[in-house]
Amino acid sequence: MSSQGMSLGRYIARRIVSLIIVFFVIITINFLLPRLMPGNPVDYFLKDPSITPEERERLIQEFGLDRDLLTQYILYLQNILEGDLGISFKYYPKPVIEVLMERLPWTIYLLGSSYTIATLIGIILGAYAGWKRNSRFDAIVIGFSFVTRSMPIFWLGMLLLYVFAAMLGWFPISGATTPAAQYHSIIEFVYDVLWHSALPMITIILFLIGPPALLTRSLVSDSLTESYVYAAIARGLPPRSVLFKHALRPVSLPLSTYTAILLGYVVGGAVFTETVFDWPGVGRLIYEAILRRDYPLIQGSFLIITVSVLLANFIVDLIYAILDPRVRLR
Amino acid sequence: MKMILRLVIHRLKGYEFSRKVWAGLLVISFLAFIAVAAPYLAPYDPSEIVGDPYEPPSSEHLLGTDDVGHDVLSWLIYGSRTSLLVGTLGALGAVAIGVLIGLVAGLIGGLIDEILMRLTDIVLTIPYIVFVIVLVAYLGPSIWNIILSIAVLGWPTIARMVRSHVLSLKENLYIDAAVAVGASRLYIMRKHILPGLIPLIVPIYVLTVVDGILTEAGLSFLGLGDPTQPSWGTLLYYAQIRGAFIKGLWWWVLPPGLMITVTGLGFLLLGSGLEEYFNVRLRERMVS
Repeated sequence: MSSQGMSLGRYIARRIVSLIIVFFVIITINFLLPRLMPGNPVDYFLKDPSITPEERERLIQEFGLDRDLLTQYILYLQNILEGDLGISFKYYPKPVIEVLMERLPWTIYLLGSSYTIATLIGIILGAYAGWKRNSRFDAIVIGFSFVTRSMPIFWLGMLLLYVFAAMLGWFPISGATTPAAQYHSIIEFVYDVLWHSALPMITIILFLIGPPALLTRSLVSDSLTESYVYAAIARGLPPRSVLFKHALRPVSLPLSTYTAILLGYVVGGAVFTETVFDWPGVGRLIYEAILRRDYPLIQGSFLIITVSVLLANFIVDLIYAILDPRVRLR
Repeated sequence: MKMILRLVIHRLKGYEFSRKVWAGLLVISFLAFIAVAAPYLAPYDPSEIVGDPYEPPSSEHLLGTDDVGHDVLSWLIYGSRTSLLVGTLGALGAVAIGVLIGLVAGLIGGLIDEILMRLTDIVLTIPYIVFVIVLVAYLGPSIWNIILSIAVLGWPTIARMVRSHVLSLKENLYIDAAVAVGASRLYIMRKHILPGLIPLIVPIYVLTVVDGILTEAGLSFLGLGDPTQPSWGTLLYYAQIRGAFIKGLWWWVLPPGLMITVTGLGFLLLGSGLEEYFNVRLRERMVS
């Protein structure tokens, strides 16, 4: 027990060190990207005509844009550690960090819940498909995964929007809350948000069920030939408990290595889904920032998204490491 | 055409392709035909205004017109060119970089392996689509910048798979034998490692094309498509901005999404079929 605790502690320490390194690399990429591009970086940041000459001068001073690259980099790091990501053109004179912080909870709510639900549904569907390999159910799960894998998520969202919002009127067309609504209680607010988030959530879930389902399917159907599964069947355990207690056991390790890819996938889906449904999250913010060529906002959104994914990855890995000691051996 | 394919199968030592492979090949050849014959198939020039805005389907415009009066069908036909070009070339770049990095990391090992794999991990933690969006936003929306971004950011998973495959190939006894008789590193790589990688790389390439096609569609949908090239994603971008679907203009929204899905599915079926095919061959070879 104590040795297990030790290795878990060491695992966490190692992960934190690599987390910090990756964090700095990402900040550096974010710093270098606009500066490596053709043209003057000052133009990228200050192109906007709505910025007054005094403000422009102040920003140049603050970010050291007239000085050498190293000084700029140090200033950039300082500013980031103080939470200063510059000023948005679109939401001028609001600081980028403020715009981001208003949006972030909406994205975390939308993605967090759809990611969890989709992974659970995916594992269960995949497990049954692998258990009943080559059955009709198996074929349906594979077909569904293939079609959603090749379908653009924004188009899927547009279809759902058309059928369930425009045609049937069951769900709202856009946004996360009813505009100018007066809530008399927290329950009313929660209900309103749930109602608004139903369609974007279903879109992301449909889009995200496939990968974990296919992975679980192949793992479970492979494990069916393992002796411990035979042993479980021989002991006369009911099929369902053989499947979920024995055949599904070895799935957590490959799933955990898959997490990083899946997380990137779901965040990519969020940009499109939020755009289609006008969801006030960070994903839609990137789209708005691109439409306006609002470079500070593009950079800020990129930073906040990558750092959030990094942290989410870390948390998911930690959960797997606690659940399955073998994960720590990686 | 069929004869050539027959011959190809024969060359592959009588192993039969699955229905998946055939279905994929069928879809892809159909789309390739549309792309090549676009000038003959399209009733109008897709960039010309040839009708009134928002015209529903008619005998003159089989799939109606968009918000400025472009012929949707002609746009769709020419869009296959953009989609296939970006998908196949972007994937080619990503696979080339991935194979190179995986090969170097796996063959040389040591510190270089460590550095390359850390780099791979880092690029992998940054959400691919978001990174591509930001890169294209800075580089400027052109077809070549989109291809470049797909290549530069799409390689990490490929590099990982190639590396681990190279490592397992290196375990083979015939490699030890080749080293023992004094074969050079380059010779071993050319004669033993690279051919051993083919069953891995071919399906990966085809599957990466799916990502390339979806990436191009997604970028265009966000308004980052090449404004000079008709693209399925661009059609959906304007449809979204004008609220086409809410207004019931289905002919503007359904066909481009369907085209993307069918194209993606074609490559997905082919790639996954080839994956199974090579796996079976690999297993049979190990048994014999």
